[in-house]
Amino acid sequence: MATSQQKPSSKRMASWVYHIINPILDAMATECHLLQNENLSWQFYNKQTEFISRIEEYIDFQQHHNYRHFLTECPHFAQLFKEHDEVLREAANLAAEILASLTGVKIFTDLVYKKLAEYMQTEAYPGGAVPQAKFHELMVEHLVNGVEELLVESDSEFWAQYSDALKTTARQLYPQLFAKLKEAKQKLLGHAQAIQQKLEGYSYSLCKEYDIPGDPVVASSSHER
Amino acid sequence: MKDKLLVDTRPLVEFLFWQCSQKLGRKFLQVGKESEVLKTEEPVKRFVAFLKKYQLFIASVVIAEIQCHQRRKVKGFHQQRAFWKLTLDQLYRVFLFQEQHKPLSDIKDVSLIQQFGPVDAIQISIAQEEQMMLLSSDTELLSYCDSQKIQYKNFADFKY
Repeated sequence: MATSQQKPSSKRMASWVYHIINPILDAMATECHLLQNENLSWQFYNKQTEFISRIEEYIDFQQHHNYRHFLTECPHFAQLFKEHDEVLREAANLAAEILASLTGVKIFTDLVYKKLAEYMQTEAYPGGAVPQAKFHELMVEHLVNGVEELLVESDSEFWAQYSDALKTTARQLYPQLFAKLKEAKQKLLGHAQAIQQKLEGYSYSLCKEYDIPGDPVVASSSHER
Repeated sequence: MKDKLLVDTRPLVEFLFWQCSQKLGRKFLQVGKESEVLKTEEPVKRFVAFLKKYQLFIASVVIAEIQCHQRRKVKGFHQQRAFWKLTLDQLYRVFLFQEQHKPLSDIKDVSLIQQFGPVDAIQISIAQEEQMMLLSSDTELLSYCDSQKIQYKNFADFKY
């Protein structure tokens, strides 16, 4: 796939495998895990996805020249990464639009705070560090992330009791936005899987051709507390 | 007002690693065999239900110990960033831990530092002065708490 006239050295290829390809492969495994559960890991307070990033953010900043060279010599991957980032931006924008839409309609916020008041008759405030005035935004975050069940979070019991009502209301209010978000998540999953598959193949071919191990050989440290 | 609980490194690390593998996939960390107590959903549920009963504290020095575990178990630029994002979120957004600062110079009993090391000596001192219960899996430390009438809970109790 490299397009330069001169054959690249094994040292250079090893640095691509270890510092560019492997980190992206690991990140794609995380992305696939999240997106298979329709979880965008989006957060309401910064309107960003927490565990899904633009591809270049997965690369250690000390490797940015290596990354630039990789993109120059592998334009096919540059295109795939660009498409991934565009779909991610589209999904994050849709999530922000859902937040703005739902928090702007009284019917949704009233429902959240009515249920919260009902819950707090017997239990403590379930929002953790999220201020009570922002609790409805936390609920939107769960809706955007397709959360079915919260196991350990402070609002796990609240969500178990009231998520059905919140989901139904939100989806009735903005069916198209939720449909578009679902589509964007599926598209993003498709991109993550395609990147994973193509990079795995490329990594293997590089390792074989240049006789380099898939991971750097390091001496293990036995010190631990 | 809830009672105060000071949580030692091992319970926190096992919980954070379990959360990582749940949220980010089992491939994210290779720590399954490292966890001694929080291996499945049931002990995690018991552990979290217990935490919810208390006002939670963490000694600042314990954060440095979490980093030692992270360095060994969480490799890679993206994974390390994700681990710390998750850690900050869990400790401060979800469970409302408060950091407790205690300089080593406040501890006048050198034998305590010699016997337990600086981190546990600081935790003992905090638990004593602030009347906190200490949650730990270190049996030597727990025996000392017992002898000094410091309230404690053995993390291993969540296993079964």
